[in-house]
Amino acid sequence: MIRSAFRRFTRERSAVAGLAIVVLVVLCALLGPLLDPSSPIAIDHALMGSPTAPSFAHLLGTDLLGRDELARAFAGARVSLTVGVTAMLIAIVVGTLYGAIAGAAGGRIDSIMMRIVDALLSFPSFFLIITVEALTEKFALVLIILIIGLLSWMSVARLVRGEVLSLRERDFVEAARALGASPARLVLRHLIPNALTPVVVAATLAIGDNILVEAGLSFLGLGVQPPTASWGNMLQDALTPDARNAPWLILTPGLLIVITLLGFSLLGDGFQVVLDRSIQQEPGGHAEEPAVFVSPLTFEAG
Amino acid sequence: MTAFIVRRLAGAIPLLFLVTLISYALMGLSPGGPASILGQQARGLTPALRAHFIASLGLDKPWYVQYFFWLGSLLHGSLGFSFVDNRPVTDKILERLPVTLELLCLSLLLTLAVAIPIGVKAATSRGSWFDHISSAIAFAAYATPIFWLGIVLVDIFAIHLRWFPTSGIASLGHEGDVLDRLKHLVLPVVTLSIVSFASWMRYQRGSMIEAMTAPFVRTARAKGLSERIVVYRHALRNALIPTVTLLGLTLPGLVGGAYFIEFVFSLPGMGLLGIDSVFSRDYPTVMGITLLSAILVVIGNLLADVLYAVVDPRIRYE
Repeated sequence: MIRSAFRRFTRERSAVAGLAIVVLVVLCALLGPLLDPSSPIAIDHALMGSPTAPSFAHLLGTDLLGRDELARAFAGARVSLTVGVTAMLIAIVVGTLYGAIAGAAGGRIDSIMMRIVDALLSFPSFFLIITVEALTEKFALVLIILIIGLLSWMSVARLVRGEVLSLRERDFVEAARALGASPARLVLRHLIPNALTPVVVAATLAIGDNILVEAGLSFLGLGVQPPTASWGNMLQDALTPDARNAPWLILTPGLLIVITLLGFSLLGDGFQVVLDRSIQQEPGGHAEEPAVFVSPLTFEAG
Repeated sequence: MTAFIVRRLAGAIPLLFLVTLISYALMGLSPGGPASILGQQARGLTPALRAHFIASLGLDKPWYVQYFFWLGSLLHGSLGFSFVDNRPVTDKILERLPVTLELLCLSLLLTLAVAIPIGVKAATSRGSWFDHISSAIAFAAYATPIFWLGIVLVDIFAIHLRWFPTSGIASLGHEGDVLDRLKHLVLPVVTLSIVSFASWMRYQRGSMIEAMTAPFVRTARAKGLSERIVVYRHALRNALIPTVTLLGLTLPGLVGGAYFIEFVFSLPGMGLLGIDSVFSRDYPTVMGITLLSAILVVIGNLLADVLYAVVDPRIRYE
């Protein structure tokens, strides 16, 4: 079954392209210091004041402070992936548990729990994030990750609850219940593992969304703080008038974000095609649609 | 229908209560706290005068007491006074609202005018080069950060080509000139539209494909109707139903996008006011904008439900 899923995945050219992009970004983040030994934060006083164009010494040029742009791009990839993946994990764990409990409990508890989700989804979340960020004035990466993660689990909860509701009536769950499985065991061993299929797709797409939110925050000066490089604050640096005739400073971080997001959304789409059973009957059907509607945050930041 | 709307609006009150309470708690509990701003902005004050100001603003009380003061003045129709210039928050927001509304309405119109026809065409010619190219463009637009796109467009069309102004809403001496205002809005509107294009186009394509495979379309074809009538009279009308509901649901997201647009283009709208007041710790203004954003979300959701019933006669709200 895994083999046929793999074959279906490799047949989707765009999914393979997405995977290639994601692998490339991960490699850059991990191997960055080896690929470009320049320090992402060391200031070259000889080059300070005016950005230099791409050259052999600095493949992507240097920024206003004479820092190597390529090294900063690699460092930014590390920040982006860290935020994207960990915030996604928080959202998936919270959302899956919450959704599974609501779905398994059913009745009153379920409807109250889902009303809370509705309420949280109506929060002006992006404005809330910038308010929290600006007021705490602690721009630790941990805080950024926590805020993004804790404000994006609701759609996962909805997804998992829907799956669990339909799984609940299935024979194998009935059998486990008849054998005397405790509610906790029922949820953790039987319901959640079987509801995870759509979560894989949502998780992949969420990484991209989180990266976008982090870039947006850092761009506004409310995320990762200098001298630590992030694609968002590199873009903010590029806005100073002195950097106006250095287009590569605008293009590099922007294109990196675009390519990375593209990678994750193509990959998420690929997973959807492979995992969605209904797609088998209808090749190229419209199961790809949800790609554009995942996190309520994306719409706002995107 | 009226009963339904009234019931939904009543149901939204606890929600708005919750949103404002949480926002207030976050601000009250954050280190620095509201009282500390007077330390920075009024350095010349004597300690006695400072204490007097803090007491007169109620900032010496715990945050939940302040919250009830705030709620109390809200019942009297006041959102309080700005810490920055002491003007009523309501005035500050109302004078910024037109710019944001113009930006959002124009961009929504432009997006719909482009995305819906392309989505329909992509769906009816599924698998063709047109479908593939429009899908690729949608993917690329979806992956583009709105603030970066804004910067790039300013760089090309305002700085290098000098076709449009780089920022602001009016040129000096041209305040009130409609043409000048529109010229300032072109780049912001286009930027916002490009980014929202992706979701609308993909959504329209999806619902159109679904409608094209519906039994009533097969029936229409079987009756021997021409393809044009089948597509536009039968399939499209049904495919527009889900799209219409999206209209309400994207409202809050558009407002979120407006923060970045107004920041990048220095447009004096509500979003820029929000960001500015967050930075200057102008708590009453931040609260006012939070409340307004939450209200917009509520209205957006309600609008989605109402439009759904309006365009689809099968749906009835008791």
